[in-house]
Amino acid sequence: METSSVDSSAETLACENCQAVNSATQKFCSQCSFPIGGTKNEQIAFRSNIAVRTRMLKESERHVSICKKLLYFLAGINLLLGLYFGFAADDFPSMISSICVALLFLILTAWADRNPFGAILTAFIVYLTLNVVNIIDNPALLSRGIPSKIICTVLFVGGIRSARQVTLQREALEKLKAPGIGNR
Amino acid sequence: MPACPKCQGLIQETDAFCGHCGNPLAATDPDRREDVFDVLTPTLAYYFITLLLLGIYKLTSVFPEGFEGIIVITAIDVAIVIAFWGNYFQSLRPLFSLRGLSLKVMAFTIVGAMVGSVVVSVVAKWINLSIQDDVFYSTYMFQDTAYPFLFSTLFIAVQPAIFEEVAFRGFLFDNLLKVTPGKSTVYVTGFVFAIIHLNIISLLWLVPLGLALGFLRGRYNTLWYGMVAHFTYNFSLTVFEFLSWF
Repeated sequence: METSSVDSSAETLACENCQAVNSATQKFCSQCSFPIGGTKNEQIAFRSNIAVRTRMLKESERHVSICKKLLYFLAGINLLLGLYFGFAADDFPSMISSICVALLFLILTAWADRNPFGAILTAFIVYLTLNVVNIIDNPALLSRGIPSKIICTVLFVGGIRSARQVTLQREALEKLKAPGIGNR
Repeated sequence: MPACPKCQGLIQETDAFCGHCGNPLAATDPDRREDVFDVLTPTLAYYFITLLLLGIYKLTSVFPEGFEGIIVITAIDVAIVIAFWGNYFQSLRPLFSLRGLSLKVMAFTIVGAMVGSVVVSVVAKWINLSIQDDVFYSTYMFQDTAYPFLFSTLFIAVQPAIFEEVAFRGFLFDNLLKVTPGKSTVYVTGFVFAIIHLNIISLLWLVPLGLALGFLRGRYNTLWYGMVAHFTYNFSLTVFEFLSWF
């Protein structure tokens, strides 16, 4: 339900962007800030602002989905590692912990659909913890696999940032009442 | 009728934007610029300093063994928490307020923590691991001291109940609340609290414990229930060990 802000004495004008009723003396729509009294160019600028924000939202969502794929990948790697420990090395404690870690990443991947920020942040902490523990246990691992460590860290940091941006950009677009987004 | 803070034009209570200048009126400005890592970096820093410390303690022989080791590691851990606590002292103060505490909730918390400790003792036995291998602090380290039960209680029940709560339900929780809604803050702090104990098997009961403590913090906005629950839980485990129950 729109609540219109209108002076009972003055003439009214419906907003082109969100259809809220405004007083004709207003320069901007009081519900979505569309420049109802502005020039053609100002109105075009408002619309292109929405287009830019929508594109930024899409871009952030793409980063988040890349990060989700990374979570699947880490779950898969740990599962394979666990199977290797069990079947090829007869190292059952390592097998169990690797499979538990794989399960943890799978649970986080499932949670990422509902809350990307919380899930990716937790996964990043799990990932760093595993690395720190392994390196303390065997310092020689510090120099091993540096490219993959860098790639994972960059993807995680980008994912956390983008997951937060998705929330903020959605809020911003909802306020501007862009078509197809928000509660209209 | 209220006025726009930017251009002083007249506006309605229900307006989202000023009709005269287009200024956003709600408390949250869609254009606010923030980097989520401004908030997360101190949080992650606390976590990794503590992780390094506990990892080195558990996996290497840098620290002395037994009672001396636990004193050294506890002193460093407490110092780290106090350093961060000092940084967030003002914002954490309301969490220590005694006002609004309910005896009923407190009673449920204590009973719940005792039931939890019994269940965990039984489960841990059932998966054929003694508690001594699972809990970071364990009573056998204190058996040769002058007052084994006193020191066990201090190091196993009192210290974690105060300092782990201030860290995980205090500043970590507060910081995460700034960037993500309450429910996921409970999940994240619960997971992180469980992971830092560095034991895969004990995740089974530490994740539920972390979630329960986080729930109490989020629901009642106080640290007291969490502290009492944490103390009761750890103290019960200590008593069970001294009585050789379960």
